Amino acid sequence: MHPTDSSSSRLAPSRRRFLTTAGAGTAAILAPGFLHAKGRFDGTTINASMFSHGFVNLLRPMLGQFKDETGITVNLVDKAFPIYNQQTDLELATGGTSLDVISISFIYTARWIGTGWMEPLDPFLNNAEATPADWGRNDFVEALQKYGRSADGKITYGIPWEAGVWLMAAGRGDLMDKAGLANGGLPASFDELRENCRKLKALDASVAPFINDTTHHANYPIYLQGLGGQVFKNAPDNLTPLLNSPQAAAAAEIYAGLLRDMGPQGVLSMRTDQVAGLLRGGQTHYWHYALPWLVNAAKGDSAIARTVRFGEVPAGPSGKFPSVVTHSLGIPKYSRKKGAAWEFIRWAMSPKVQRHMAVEQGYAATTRTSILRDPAFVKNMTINGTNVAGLVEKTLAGSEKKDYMNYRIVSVFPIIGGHINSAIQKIASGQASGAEAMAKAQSDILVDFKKNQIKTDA
Amino acid sequence: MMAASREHAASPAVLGTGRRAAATPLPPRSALGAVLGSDRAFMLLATVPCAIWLLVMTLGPALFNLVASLTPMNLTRPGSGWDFSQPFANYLLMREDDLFLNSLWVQARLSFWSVLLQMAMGLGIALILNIQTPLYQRLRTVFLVPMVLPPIVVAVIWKVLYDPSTSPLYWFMGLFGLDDVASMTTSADWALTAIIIGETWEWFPFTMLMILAGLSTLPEEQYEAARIDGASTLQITWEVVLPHISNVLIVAAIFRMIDSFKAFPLIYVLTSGGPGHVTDTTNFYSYRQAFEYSFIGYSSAITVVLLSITTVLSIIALKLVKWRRTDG
Repeated sequence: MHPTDSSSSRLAPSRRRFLTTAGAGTAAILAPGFLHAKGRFDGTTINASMFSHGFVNLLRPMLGQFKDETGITVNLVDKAFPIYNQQTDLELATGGTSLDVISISFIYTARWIGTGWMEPLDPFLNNAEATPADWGRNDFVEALQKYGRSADGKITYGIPWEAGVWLMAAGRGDLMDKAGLANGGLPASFDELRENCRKLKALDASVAPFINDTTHHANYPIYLQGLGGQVFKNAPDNLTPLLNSPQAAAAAEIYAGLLRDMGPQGVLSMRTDQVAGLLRGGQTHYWHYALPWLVNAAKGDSAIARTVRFGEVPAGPSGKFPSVVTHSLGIPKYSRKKGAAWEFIRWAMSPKVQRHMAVEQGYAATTRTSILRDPAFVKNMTINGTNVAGLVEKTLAGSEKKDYMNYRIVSVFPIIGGHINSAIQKIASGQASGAEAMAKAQSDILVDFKKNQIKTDA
Repeated sequence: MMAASREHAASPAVLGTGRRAAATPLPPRSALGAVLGSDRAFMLLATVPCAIWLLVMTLGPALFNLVASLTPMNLTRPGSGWDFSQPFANYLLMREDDLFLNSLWVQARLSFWSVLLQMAMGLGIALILNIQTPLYQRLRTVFLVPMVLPPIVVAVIWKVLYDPSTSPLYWFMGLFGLDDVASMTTSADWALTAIIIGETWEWFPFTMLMILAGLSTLPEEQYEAARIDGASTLQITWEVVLPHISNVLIVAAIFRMIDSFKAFPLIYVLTSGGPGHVTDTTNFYSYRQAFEYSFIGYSSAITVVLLSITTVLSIIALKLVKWRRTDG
């Protein structure tokens, strides 16, 4: 026998053992509690639709495991966010039966849940056979879970799968140190952010100091609320828009000014993946955005892996208002396979699958408190000395306490969001001042509200 | 003879019961039987169902659109599709909708410039390619490429070209120190031009193809006669070629104008109507109203207005062609 054969024969059983053990381990992680479903749903096929997200990419490879355990085949389709929203909206509005599980988009929460297009999940959650007690219904962060409930908080329609917490990433810590910025370059206030950007631009103009994608409606409110302004008079009860206020104009000037003066060429048409690519390549400094995008841009072979710093979004005179959004898995009212659909949601959001995704595979936006505090997860999420998981918990606690995200889950938000986007573009492209653009947005919104027969004080 | 033929066509023998029919004498015809037995009636019976089906398929959605425009139909408000209490509310609201009025102006500029440039480019290149050389014959196919590409692919090509972080054009300009050239799609001054350029590139082959077809029908004798009379190439083009293909030019322009109202993928991918509302054409505005805001009734009213404008413009252009024919 050739020596190498001998060594390989020694290695082979070991490798087999490893694979067997790993396979059995994964099965052990995923299987308990779900085996009872096998037989009841054997041969069932359900259609699940979500928007494209890292969560979907991690979930999809595990669907075979789910099928083995329950006999349910899941056709999981993902689409770009705007396409997904439009198609799902149309499907729900027309009473279509083709979807069994969907992701309830945050900005469509009131619309899809409030209009009665989603199925209450309480009958499943309260049924010990459908949901074992150790599933941990109360383990989901309350600041996120509440958005999956009815307006009065009594009925649950969705299980949150993303903690879309807004943080600030400062990509090039090396240049920030060189520029002598305070607090490692992480700005505490809007003024400090602008000042830091000026210094960084002066130091190296090839790295854009500030960047964001086209979702201005998610980023502008940080400045608006920070300056003491509001989107609505009192959402969801009074939907009179307040975008013609002095605070709204000043906030728009700050945010659009950062994009215009400190953003890279073409920033107004950049998609999220383009922005992430520039941060990842070390071509930009500041990006405040949803957690998973920021963490993914900083990990792996990222050029900023060793220089990136994470902090909270800067504050205005009225405080800090980081956006917190979440998307939930739910069952459309007209699904014909609700039992199997719940089986899938329960499995996908189970502690073990979620822990597997978060700890083993690096999914940052976990929605379970137990995982957020899991030492292994915290270790993964400690990036260049900063406990990002701790920042997430702090931000979530703040959002629950101040409860400032209601503006975003009213049914008319897509309208407001579209007009905010246009106004910010107008200011950043030099077509109008902050006051002009926001006053025009206000009047355009009122015209749209007339079409929708929304009553306002105006 | 004709009558005999009609009798034969209507006889049961033709309908497959010949043996029994031959044995029994034909019963006397009723008035209805006489009508149904005629060629004309048979033809009508055979074609009317198809015609009704076609009418339903083509006019049905348009009719639904018209009816929806008379309601405040909104997918989030059940029953709003049957609310005809204020049938003209959508149309009245348009007068105070600045964004709709702006979209008409944007649409007019996009249509005017893109059609003009497509006609100019199509004509120029067609005149060159009409020269009978092997090289130009092969080039005809190459020039067709933009038109046969799926519109979304065209949009992605221009997205890459206009994006400073990925564009080879911007990279090339950077070599010469031109790092600060504004991105066309995010500049208020250039965004519409960027769409017009993309639209022209995609569709000039269509006008080129039509004009080439028109040029191929120009008799060689007319060239010969003009040359014998001492006309220059420019004079031949102006006095002989253009008058000959003028109707083709008008028809091509009509087609392109109608199509320009439907421009969508380029705007969706490149600018989404922005920055602000600089590239928010009526078609795109209508799409946003329906699919982003759920204002199906209002969006339908916009499309009715758009359809009316297109129809009027088309009728004017067709009258022009007719007038030129009778005048000529």
